[in-house]
Amino acid sequence: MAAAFAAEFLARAKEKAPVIVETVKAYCPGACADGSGPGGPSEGSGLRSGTEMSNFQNYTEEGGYAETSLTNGARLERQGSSVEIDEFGGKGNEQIDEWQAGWNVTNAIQGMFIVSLPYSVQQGGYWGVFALVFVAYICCHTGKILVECLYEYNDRGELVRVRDSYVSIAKVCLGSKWGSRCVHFAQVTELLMTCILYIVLCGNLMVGSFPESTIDQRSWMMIFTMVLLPCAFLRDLRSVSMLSFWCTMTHLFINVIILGYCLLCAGDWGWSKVSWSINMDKFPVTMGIVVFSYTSQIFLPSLEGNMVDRSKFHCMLNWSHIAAAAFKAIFAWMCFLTWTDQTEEVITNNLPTRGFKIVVNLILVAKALFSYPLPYFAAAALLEHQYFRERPKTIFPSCYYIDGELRVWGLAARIALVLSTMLLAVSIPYFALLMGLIGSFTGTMLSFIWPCYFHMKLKWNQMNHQQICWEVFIIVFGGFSGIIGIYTSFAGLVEAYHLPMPPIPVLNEA
Amino acid sequence: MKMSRSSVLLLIAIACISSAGAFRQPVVFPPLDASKYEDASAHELPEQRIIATDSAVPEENHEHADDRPATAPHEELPRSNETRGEPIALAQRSSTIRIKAPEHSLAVWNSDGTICILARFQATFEIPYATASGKKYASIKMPPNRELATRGVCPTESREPLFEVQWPLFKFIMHFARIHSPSSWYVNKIEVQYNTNSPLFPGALNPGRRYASATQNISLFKTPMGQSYGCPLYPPLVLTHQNSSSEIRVKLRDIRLQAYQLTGNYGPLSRCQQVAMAHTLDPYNYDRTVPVAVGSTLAGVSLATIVGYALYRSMFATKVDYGNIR
Repeated sequence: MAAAFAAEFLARAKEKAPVIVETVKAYCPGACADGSGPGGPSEGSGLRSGTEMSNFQNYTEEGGYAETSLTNGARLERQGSSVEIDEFGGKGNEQIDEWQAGWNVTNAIQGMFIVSLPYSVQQGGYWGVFALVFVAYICCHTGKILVECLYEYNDRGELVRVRDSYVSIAKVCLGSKWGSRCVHFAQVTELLMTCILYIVLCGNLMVGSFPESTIDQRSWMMIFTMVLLPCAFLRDLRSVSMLSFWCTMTHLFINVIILGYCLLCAGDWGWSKVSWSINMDKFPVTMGIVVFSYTSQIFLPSLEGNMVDRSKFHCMLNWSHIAAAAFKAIFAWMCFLTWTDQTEEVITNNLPTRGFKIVVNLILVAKALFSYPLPYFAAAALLEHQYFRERPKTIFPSCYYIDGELRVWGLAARIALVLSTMLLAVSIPYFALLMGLIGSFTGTMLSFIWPCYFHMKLKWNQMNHQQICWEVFIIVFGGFSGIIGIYTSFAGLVEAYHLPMPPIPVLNEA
Repeated sequence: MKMSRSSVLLLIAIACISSAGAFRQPVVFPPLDASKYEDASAHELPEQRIIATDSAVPEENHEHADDRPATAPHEELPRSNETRGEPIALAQRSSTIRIKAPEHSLAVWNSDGTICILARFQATFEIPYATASGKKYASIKMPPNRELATRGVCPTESREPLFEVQWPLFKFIMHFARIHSPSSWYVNKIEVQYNTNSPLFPGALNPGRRYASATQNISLFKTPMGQSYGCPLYPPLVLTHQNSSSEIRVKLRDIRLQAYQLTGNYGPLSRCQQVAMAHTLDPYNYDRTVPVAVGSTLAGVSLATIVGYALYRSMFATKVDYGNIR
């Protein structure tokens, strides 16, 4: 009886195999390059040879490529300020290709908290590794549906890009006044918090590397702010993409160095230490790091809008998330195998010699500096779009001269933005907790709840039950992570004000 | 005679406190039978000899004496040793005015009211304990300062300092030592004493007092003499129990510590090499020369950038315009 059933099952499976393979292929990342991917707007075809992964192996070529694109970007003529500027300042003739978009997404989702991921595996065992992959899958999905919300079918059944930004989707779904303001505020907050985080991290890493030097943490932060001042001149997404590319390279470099060390210790790996048990006290906190390390949705509408070939957007998004998930999961897992119970909250503290620590810390500083321009540029462009587009549209005049160059006060405002991120970095006490508190809220909304809600609101008629269930699940999952994040950060903040620490270190007596 | 007098005092104090409803419940610890705790501790603490106090003045001298109102734990706990051993260090009856400790810091005072040990840190203890269903872990956090009592021994020529912080059912002790060349100090012993007869150890087998320490050639927090040690995130310390192999892991963070040559406040910072992500509470040096210099440079560079761009614009843009006109 059972044998007969099994035989029948096998036969059916064989019958269905080609169909399954086709379905799998259709959902595979590479497929969308041919325009046959699920759901994606399809125009044009063909993918640059190789994938992002293969690209990691011969990056010098890509580096040259990225540089060329910057030079081109700089030479591009700016024809008057009347050109319609989109949310992130991109203009019609300054488009980026899928690789450049990919670098930016990678910059956003392979964040600085990679060094904390092994700790999440220590707290959550295999669940931590699973979470790293699973959250990547969810975030990739919400990114896609968010971009889908930009498109509507016209009378002839063609997909047309009718909206150009997150805010414009919010205008339709949440109301044009408060809804869009909410989203705009959340975006700017999230982006500026990220900028502040990078400066704080530079200070942390430097003061940890050179504790004896007379330069203290806030001085390090100010020193690196000088390095970041040229960001005020950033005008187009291409230069930002190039910086994001170098950010990815430094990230790769860190991976190579640390994983190389881990492999040297492969003989002593503690295989049995990875468990299925979860430390329920700590796991929610580390889960927060995992969840909010994948948030790139904020950039996606603009990146997609600025892509030369938008049909490759899905492909780019898939591969960047696959790469991020693979790198993060393998990195976290291997580091945990190497250090097992000794794994520290910041993995560089585990490295054996002082010189090694300093080298890795310095590379991380470089990574933070390369990461800064993307959120900074996006925040500046969002603010510009909202407040600086001449009188009738917005309250302030344009930051640009008629020939398209920055006005002097425009530059001053942008430099002030860089300086204000620095000032907040040196003056906010308990920044990690504050970031956790605010970031959990904005991150949850921007990355999980809003994309799904907007998608369901706009595309309800085109969705089947399965999709609806899945997106409801994402909303619940995101909401749950957000609540945990807010709760733990809030508890931490409440506790912090009874801590044996000064409330505002900067205001210490001289 | 003395002993009985203080016992009576103790009982009266407890009676008054509990009848007035003033027994302040610590956040993490449930109320407990204080007298029982006293009894249990009186005979088992290994380090009583050193932290013995003057039996005639049981309450006022050795606890954390900043401006906070005295609470039940403050009053009761330090007396666990009150009648034991010989007074060695902090047995002063003097009513000298103590120098106020820096905010959020725990302190130990000399007889003349000056501070001799300053410390602030957060501690988390991962403590394994046996239950009927196998080994379990209790995670215990050091409560806020107001619920702590501190005592210690000030350094003298002949004696090394000791710092003790305690709260109901728990005691954390650091022993210091110094080296003369190069002149520096460090922590050479760490101890934890606790009682598993508490709701924090649900289902513990053989509940009672436990003692664990790290003594094997440890030299933690090594710092030049006259300076303070600071660290945002210290790697977990492993303490072993006296007669079992189980290990306690102590995680210390946001540490600032100094036990020698204090002048009312922490000395210059000697920082560890650990990195803490997004940690903005790194104890800054009080010397502001470098930050001010760097800050002014940054302001100068920013201004120079703007002025430079303005000059460039005024020259370059004009030229372009003329070119266009022609």
